[in-house]
Amino acid sequence: MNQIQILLNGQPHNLTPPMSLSQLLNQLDVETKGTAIAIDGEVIPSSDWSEFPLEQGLKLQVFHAIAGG
Amino acid sequence: MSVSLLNDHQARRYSRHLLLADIGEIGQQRLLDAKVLLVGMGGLGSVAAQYLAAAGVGQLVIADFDTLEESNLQRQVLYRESNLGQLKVEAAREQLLSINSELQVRTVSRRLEGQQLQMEAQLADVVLDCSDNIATRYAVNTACKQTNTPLISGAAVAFDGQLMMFDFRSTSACYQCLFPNAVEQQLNCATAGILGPVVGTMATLQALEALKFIAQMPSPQWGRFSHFDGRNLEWMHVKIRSNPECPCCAS
Repeated sequence: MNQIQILLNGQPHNLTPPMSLSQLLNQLDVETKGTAIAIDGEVIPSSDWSEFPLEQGLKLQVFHAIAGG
Repeated sequence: MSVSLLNDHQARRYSRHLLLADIGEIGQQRLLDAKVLLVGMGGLGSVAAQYLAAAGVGQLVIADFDTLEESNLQRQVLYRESNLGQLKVEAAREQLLSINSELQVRTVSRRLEGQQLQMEAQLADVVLDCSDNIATRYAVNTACKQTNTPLISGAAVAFDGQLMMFDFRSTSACYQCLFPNAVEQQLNCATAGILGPVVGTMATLQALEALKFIAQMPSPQWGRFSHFDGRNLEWMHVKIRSNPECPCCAS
């Protein structure tokens, strides 16, 4: 089919475009509060998530804030 | 002819710094003249403070309102059994002065917030966020942003650690750009556990970066977020970008 593959926290993940970063996070039920999303080594501000199109081969990393110390 | 900045005793005590071309006598004098604010004196703050004290950082301001509990001793290696029940800042002050009696250590034993937090950030050359909750992390971030004070932020839980640094003299990206809308978490050291060397690793890196900053050395960590996986000894580094809608720093 018309699928593309991205790397999600180091693991291959297939999806059908067009899909925005927000849509993927929603589909995967990722907790978005206190969450940083990086694509290809750079954090994408949450203000850009809904417009950010996912493309073949990109590397996506999800980080949740740790508060402890 | 060079004028010596350090006295003979200091030249001996800090001789291993003087051998470092990036620090040397001028860098050591900068350390002696520096003032660092540590917010939180638990697993991060108590470890970072030891290194700053030993390195001769002249003034430490340490803030925490907790008393020392038995469950702290497994990782907060600055403290002794005899300190149980004491305010952490009082116990820490005593221990830090026993490491280096030439320091000035000022303690803040109530919750550092609002105008007092902003004033303390303003007075510091650099702030180490060593706290254990999101509300304090946001408050420290805001105070540093408002006073243009560089912030070195560490965090740890279980086997994971995080390190991020914001130079508010020159950048707009902040902790809240990185982690927007964060809420207090179910997972903290009291519920998820923590292994001492994991939090100690993050604290040691905070101290390393503070010393480098004071000695005016560059660092790739400004504007960068790093995640440490203590199980697999893996690091991930990503560049932080400012959020144009950030409630803390968007203009």
